Amino acid sequence: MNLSVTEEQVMLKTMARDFLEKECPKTLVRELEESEKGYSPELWSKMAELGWLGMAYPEKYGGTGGGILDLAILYEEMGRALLPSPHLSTVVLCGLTILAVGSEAQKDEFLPKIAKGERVLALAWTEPNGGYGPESITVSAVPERDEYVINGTKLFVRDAHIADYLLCVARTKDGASPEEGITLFLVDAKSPGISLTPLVTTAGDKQFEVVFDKVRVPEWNLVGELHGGWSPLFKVIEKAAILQCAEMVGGGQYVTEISVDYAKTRVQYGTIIGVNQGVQWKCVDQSLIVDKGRAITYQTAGKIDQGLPATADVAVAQAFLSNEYPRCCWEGHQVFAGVAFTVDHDMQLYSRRAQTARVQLGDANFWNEVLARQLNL
Amino acid sequence: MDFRFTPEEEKWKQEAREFLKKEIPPDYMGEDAYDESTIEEAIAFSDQFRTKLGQKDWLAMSWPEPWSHKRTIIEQCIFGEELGYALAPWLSWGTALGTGASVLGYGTEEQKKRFVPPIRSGEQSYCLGWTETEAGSDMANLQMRAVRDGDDWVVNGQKIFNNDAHRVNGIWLACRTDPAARKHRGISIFVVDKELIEKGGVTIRRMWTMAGRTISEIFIDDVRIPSFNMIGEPNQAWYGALNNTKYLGVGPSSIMRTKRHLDMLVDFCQETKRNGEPLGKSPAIRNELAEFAISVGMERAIWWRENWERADREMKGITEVSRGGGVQPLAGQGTVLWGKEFVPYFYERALQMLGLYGQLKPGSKWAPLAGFLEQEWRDRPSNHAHGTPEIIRLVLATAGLGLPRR
Repeated sequence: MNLSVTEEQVMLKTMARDFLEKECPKTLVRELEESEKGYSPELWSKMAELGWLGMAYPEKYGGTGGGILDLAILYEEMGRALLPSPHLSTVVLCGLTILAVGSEAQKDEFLPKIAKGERVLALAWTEPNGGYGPESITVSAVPERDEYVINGTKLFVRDAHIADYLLCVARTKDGASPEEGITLFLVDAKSPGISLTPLVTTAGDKQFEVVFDKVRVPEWNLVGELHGGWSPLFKVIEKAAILQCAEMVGGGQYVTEISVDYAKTRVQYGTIIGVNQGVQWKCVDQSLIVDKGRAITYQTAGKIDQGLPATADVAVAQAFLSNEYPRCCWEGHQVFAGVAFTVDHDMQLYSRRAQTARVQLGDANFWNEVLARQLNL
Repeated sequence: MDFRFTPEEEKWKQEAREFLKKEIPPDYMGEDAYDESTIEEAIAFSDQFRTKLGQKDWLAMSWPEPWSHKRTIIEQCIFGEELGYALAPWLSWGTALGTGASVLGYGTEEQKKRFVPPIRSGEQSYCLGWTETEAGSDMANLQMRAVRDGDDWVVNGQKIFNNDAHRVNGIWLACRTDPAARKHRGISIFVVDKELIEKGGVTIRRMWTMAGRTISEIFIDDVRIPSFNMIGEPNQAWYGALNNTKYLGVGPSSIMRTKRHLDMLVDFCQETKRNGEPLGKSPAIRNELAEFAISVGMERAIWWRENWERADREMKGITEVSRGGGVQPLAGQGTVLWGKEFVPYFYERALQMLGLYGQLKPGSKWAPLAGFLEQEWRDRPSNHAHGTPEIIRLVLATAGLGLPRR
């Protein structure tokens, strides 16, 4: 057993930290939250140049052949900086799905462009019923000659407004089990019949209601096997979840640092507030959440890269961080008290974004259930 | 043990309920349910509500005659529960009642005659002018200076995190009047009423919290406050008017406010289906809803017990309570701590039940229950106001249980 990271990975972390400290200050984060686009195309191009968009793709598709662990290191720094970008939607959720089960033609068409920063994609997965599992997929795709016609509503679709393509998770038949009969389609975002309504969220991130009204999609755009889309999709969702965990760990690390710093400098009653046990215990809790979260996240990312079974670990990591990362932010608020609850302070930038991460790729209850099934309950 | 109310008390409860049914619209979500475009409307409604209460002489129920029509503690509790459950506004008069209570406790007859009636009628409202950037938990560290000049005090300085300064017409202002004295010993308190504010020198700046609610900063530039407006002796406020509890009433029940929110959540879980089944059928959700109801029910029981004990002491003429060596009465501190720890936990868990929908703010399409739970979630960090839970625990541990101080 070897639980260390390589020298290259340490360099990747340092470089990412330096780059984001310079290119993604909190002023930009705030500006982008207020903006309609929600990301900076200039910064996205720079990320492409650094190889961040093709990191997990093979070289023949314009990538650098890295793994999920490499991406996790990157995601931790992106989480620390609160980088607003469509990386998770484009590179991971959609890109890794195309890589896993797309045709050669689809891989050739999409992956190099994604790696160069020339295409943005969004995954249209969850629906108004609010569930994450295959039984929650009701948007239908019906074959008609050489096309499929998609009807239904997707909800909480992140980055839909800037996407060139939507990867739509649709039901093509009612099978013997809910998994059977789900198919993935690449839908041109400019197709007639698609309408977007923005949702107003705690984090100010860009999520949408996407209505598909008789949207026609050529057969060519079907990704993977007809009726067999759920299983490969879920494997990608697991990878995305562990990367999101890394993002939460990065946020948690920063939150803990600023909370401890405040506890060491704030003076009340003639002394530093960190002298008080109540404050000390909170900072201890925060740092344990980050350390534990980092350990499970990196180990699981490593297992995934080794091709070992990792579903249970992903479930543990995500369920733990879904609750504990928001708690880490909460303890930060407790340490800061009055000074951090107005919009001027950076603390609430983290605590609000934690609300997306805790539910976006499955909430704690969902992953608890996944874990329970892994344990044969 | 008898938990029943008397027929008169039942009648009072009905009267309170009917009044609230008439004055509060059925879909009213509380005085904090506003955004930048609706805040003025929300403030106007609160003001109007306060005026109506003033017209019925129901604002200051804990003050003795002739200053108000005093009601028993049980009657105040009954009213408090009804106000809380109706989510009735109270921000613009809560502080005024504290100000009035202090004037009654420590003011001269002339001061009472001048300052108490406008509070009773609802015409005069106050916010606290205590907190400063370096005086939060450690309030005695406040620096705002009041310098004697003839018969006036000239005040300069800044207050911050003032709840509702922009919606009231007065400030209950704490200043340092003796910079040479040790912290607690150099503080005085002033009534800065409408008349004084209109003379100028007071600027209020509105700040927005992460919950989309407002608080404010108050800038005071060379404001002359007549010495008549100081309540109690100079430099004695910490030991008197600032820490007065004698005439403080029961006020709206925040426990019942939480109960109202819980009831809305329960209804929501009964009506909303996920994959064909009501949310309330999920064992995890049912279990948690039950736990919330237990916590609310327990807290309500303690609240009634503590208020009843206070009523009992009053009847027997006992005025001070000494517990664990501390002189400050600790009744109600446990419930206050519950409000700062359990209530944020409740909103945290309620959002967990909503899953993806918990992200949606008021005004968003698809936001469940008009997004109010999401906004309450964002407001959780305001739990530091009027004492952080950690300070309260410290007080409970030291003054309450006699554990050693650092």
